[in-house]
Amino acid sequence: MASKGAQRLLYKRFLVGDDRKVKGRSNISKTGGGARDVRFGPWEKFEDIVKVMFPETTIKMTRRKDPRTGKYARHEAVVHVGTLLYQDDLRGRAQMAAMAVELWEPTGARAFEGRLARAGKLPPFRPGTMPAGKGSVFMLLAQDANGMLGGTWVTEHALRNHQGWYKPFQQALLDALDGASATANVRGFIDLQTGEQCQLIGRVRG
Amino acid sequence: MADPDLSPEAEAVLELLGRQRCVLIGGVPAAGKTRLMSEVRETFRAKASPGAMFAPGEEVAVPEAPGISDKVPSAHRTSRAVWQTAMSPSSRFRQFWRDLEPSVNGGGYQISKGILYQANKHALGPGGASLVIVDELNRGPAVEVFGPSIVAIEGNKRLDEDDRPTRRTAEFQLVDDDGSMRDYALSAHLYLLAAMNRADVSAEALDAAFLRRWADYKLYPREEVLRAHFDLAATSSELPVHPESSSAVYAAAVRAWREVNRKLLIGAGEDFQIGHGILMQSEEAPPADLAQALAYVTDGWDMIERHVREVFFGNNEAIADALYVNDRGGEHPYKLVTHTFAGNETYQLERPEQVDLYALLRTIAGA
Repeated sequence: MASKGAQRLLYKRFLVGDDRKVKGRSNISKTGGGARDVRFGPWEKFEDIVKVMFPETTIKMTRRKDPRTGKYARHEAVVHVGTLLYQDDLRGRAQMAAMAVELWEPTGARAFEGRLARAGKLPPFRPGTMPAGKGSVFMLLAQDANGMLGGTWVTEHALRNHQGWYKPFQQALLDALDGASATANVRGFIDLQTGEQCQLIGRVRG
Repeated sequence: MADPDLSPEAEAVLELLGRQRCVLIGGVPAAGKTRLMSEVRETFRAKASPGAMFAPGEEVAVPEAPGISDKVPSAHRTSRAVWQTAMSPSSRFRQFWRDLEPSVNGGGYQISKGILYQANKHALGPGGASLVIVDELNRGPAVEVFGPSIVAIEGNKRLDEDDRPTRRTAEFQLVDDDGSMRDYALSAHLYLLAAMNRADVSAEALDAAFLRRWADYKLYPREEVLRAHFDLAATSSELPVHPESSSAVYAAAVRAWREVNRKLLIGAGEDFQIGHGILMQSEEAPPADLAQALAYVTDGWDMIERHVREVFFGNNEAIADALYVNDRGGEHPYKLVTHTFAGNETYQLERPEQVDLYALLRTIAGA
């Protein structure tokens, strides 16, 4: 994809566990149910930026197990939908394609986190695309001036060794890498339109 | 660093602003003054802080956007702001500078904070740079509105880059918050961009001393812009008797517009020509369908005829001449008819109720 102006940047550090989830090999469940999601929380910190980056809102029905009764019941979930543009390799010819990408508001099970649904199905983050041997890796969603989203991986190696980064983004990620443990959950966003920046490290409950 | 997204016109205006601080965009109606002012405004404001690009798959996935164009004045100043207004017959000095104005809260009077005052104050602040845009400069009392600042607005009569007075700095007096008079000088980082259209009759006279303070930038009718907009070849080809495609309609419209402009130049002068924008409803591609193309061109052509009638108001012979009624023999759908009234010869321009627009354009184009 040709480079375009970015208006908003939403990022999250990817850990080995996250990679397993994307590959559908959850470390908590053999079925991998729901494990392909990537979570952003606490929700109130991300709610505003999510509503801009995923501007369509829809209601979806979901089944959830009641821990007291053990029975499943149907619940409504609020889902924010954006449009992801990506390079599709169709019969050997690269061309731009678009698909819907969903970010779900918190549900009862994880009431403080929104979740990017089925991250492993998004072409930029498909299993096997995550760079290896380049230190920590962040998944990045960027929104352009037309509201379209794009996705890519960002590596610690590139952040530390390459020139020409947009400095507030590079600095935010390097600060997190230098200031937190190697397994800390790092997520945040930069809104270039409003100048707002947010970064959260570790467990922060809303 | 040159900005590849910047039009040559915006680049030229920004460069002039940087050198002379006050720029007056002039030109014929529909030549793109509003579009140009918008582009200058957005560039001046938006290039303030470095932006980010998104380059998926590259090692540097979020590179810094191309830096501030070196054509943008005061590029190193990061606190940038734009004020925009239009001059009108009701414009007053207090709305631009400072003067007594009625106070809504509690009655009485207060000292106003006009837009030039605010813009200059901002430019004198830390890292400040201000652009004030005044459209329709000749539609109101501009000389009175600028008042005693008329000398101080000149580019070489400002404070220096660091806001210190020089031997050339011109000061003028403005009323202060407490009612006393205070000496005042203008920041080197305050820029004024005005626009006016000389074809309209001025509401107020703009004297030569006032206009001398402004660097002139003129916009002209540009056929190549229309040809690009309508995706036409650079050179004219024969127009068919009956249009078979939208291209024929657009080609006829562009050539007829060019021919009428030729007459306007001879009969009224270059300020009274009509710009290319008159045939462009927006910057989006025009319709490819033949019927829609005729409807598209009808709107623009109606405005061209209206402009001709205004320029030669009351002179039907001149209007007929501008529309080539006399030059194209019996083919022209319009007729100039001579009558005798009160012992004098008078002229009336007769149009049929239903006009075949393409035939009219083709006739005027001289195909």
